[in-house]
This record gives sequence, C-alpha cells and structure tokens, in this order.
Amino acid sequence: MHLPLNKITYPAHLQELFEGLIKVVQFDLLDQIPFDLPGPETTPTIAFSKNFEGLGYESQNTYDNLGFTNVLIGMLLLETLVVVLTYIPVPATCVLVRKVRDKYRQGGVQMSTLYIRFFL
Amino acid sequence: MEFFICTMVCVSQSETPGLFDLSSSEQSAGDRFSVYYTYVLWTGMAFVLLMSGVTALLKLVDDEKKGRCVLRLEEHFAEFFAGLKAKTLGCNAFYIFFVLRRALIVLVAIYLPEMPLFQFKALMLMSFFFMVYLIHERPYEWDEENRLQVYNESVVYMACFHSLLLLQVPKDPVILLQIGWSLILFVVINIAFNMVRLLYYARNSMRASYRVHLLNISAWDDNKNRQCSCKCYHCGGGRNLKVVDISSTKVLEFSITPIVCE
Repeated sequence: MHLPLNKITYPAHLQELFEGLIKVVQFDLLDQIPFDLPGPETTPTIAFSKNFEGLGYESQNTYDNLGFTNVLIGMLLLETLVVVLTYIPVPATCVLVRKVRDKYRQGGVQMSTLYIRFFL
Repeated sequence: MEFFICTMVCVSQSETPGLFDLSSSEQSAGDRFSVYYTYVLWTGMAFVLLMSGVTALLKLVDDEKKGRCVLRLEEHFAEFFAGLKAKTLGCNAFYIFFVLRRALIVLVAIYLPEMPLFQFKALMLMSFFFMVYLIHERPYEWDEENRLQVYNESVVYMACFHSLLLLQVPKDPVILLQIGWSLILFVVINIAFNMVRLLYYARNSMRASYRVHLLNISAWDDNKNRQCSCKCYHCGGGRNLKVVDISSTKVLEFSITPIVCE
C-alpha cells in the first residue's frame, strides 16, 4: 500500500487503484465531518513530496497528518487516565465504585495488549 | 506504519526548516504541540520495541528461575505473543523484525528520494529476507497463518518487482499499461483472497459463539473436537449430560431441538 511513497510515477490506472485503496485503508472519518474539531492551530506546510501528498500525508506536521488517529490516541489517553484513577483508595462503603474499579483493574492485561497493538 | 511516516516526515523538515526547532521563537503553540506529540509517539514506539524485546528474551528463561515480578510482566504481555510459537528467539523476536522493517521502509522512502532504483531493490531485499524468516522460523502457531503470511509477502515482493520494471522499461505506453494491469491483478487477487479468508473465519467464530450461547454448550472447539457436552436447556443442570455431535445439529439452518435432561 505504501509503495507509491517511493519516487515513481505509476500509470494512471494503477494510480487510481492506489488512491481508492488508500481512502479505504486510512479510514479517515474526520474528512466526512462538515465542521472542524477543536485542536491546536498548526502552521500550514506543504507536503513532503507529491508522492506523499497522493497518499494522504498532506502536511509535515505530525498532528495534521495523523487525522482520525488523533481521536483514537485521545481515547486511549482517556482510558489510561481512568485506569490511573482506579488506584486511588476507595472507602469500603462505596460498593459500586469499588466494583467498577475492580472491573477496570481486571482489564489491565487487555490494556497492555491494546497499547502495543495500537503502536504496531 | 502511519506513525513512522508522520513522525519521520516531521523530523526530516525538508521543506520547512525550523518546524522541529523548539528554540525558534517563530514557532506557534500548535507547532510546538506537534513536536512534543512526535516525541510522545516515539516514546510509545520505543516502549513497544523494548517490551517486546525484553519479553522475547525472558520467554527463553525457565519459569522456575524467574522471579514474581518477571512472571507478572510476562502475564501482562502474554496476549501480545498470542498465536506465536514461544520456542526460539527467532519466533519471539517476530514483532521486533516487523517494526524494524516498517521503520526501514519509511527511512528509505524519506531519506533516499533521489535513488528510486535503490529504493525498490532495498524493498525487494527486505521482503525477500522477511519471507526467508517466515519460511525458516514459521513463527505462528497455526500453520495456515504461516502460509498466508508467506503468500502476502510474496505479493509485496511481486509488487516491488513490477515497480522496478516500470522504472527500467522504455516509456512505451503499451508496456507500461500491461505492467500496470499485471500489478492490479496481483493486488486484487491478494485483497480478494484475504477478504474471503477473513469472512470465512468470521463466519466460523459467529457459528461457534452462537452454539455456545444459544445451545448452552459449555465449551466449543471448532478445530479439534465436534463432540461437546451440553447442559440442559431448561434447568441448566449438569446431570445426565448428553454428548451430542454438534456438527449434526445444523445450527445455521435454525432447526435445533433444545437439548433437555434425559
């Protein structure tokens, strides 16, 4: 999928196939939203090269390039925050809070795997 | 892959010098955020590489010699190695090769843009060595998965070969068109094959979970044994357990008679 990153000009029909596949693979839902989501204002930059631009990497800013993945990273950070919160001591009387906490702690192993798979 | 590309592009600063320069006073808050963001992503990737490397090495040590802390660490990252053989260092180091290869692909694309011939030869070599690794080590527990990975890798190799041909042949539109169609054929067959395989396993897994939940079956192993002991549909009791051949219950046709106590 990332072959066109290299300096080569593919014939038009091949170019079209790659463009179509990239749209599916990138799964960038932010393009479908008609309004801008709040985020840091970065300086607009040009793409690294035409080949990169063609594959959807239209900027040189990491934040701009990642697109929808930023939302996933945000969700992952939020989840981490919740896990950290579960380590705050809770009085024995708060049964419900303790139950929720224990459930989150049980999911610790899955969380580790999720982190790794995300970065892979 | 996306992380590698985005962060490397940000660092390479070919067109925008100063973007990655934190000491520059002209940098906006958003750009600074982007740079720190890059650092965070790198830390994450380095952490993954480090942990997979450490766990891979630890897997080779006998369980008796490991301390409680090490066992806990292994337990935390056990699912990461799910589906992989844990016998040799080569198998355990699968993800290290996997990540390093991706990093190399991006580095070649970014730092050697004026050498397209070398780029594709390097990609072909990487693909070839990865294929040799897959055939030699067979890192996956499931043999079918090993074969599939070798097949996918061979398609990558063929795609690189086609790209190399496009660079080498004279710019005759007819030849270019034919090479293009040939590559499209390879890619489409690969996608179709992977899709069919995915749907096949999704169907199997749905079937298995349907059997487990609706038939109240205590365990179901789709690959090994089709004979499972079932609990009573009405009382859920384990007395007088019936052993039924589930493959003959025709679950998908929705013609199941509830299994009850004898």
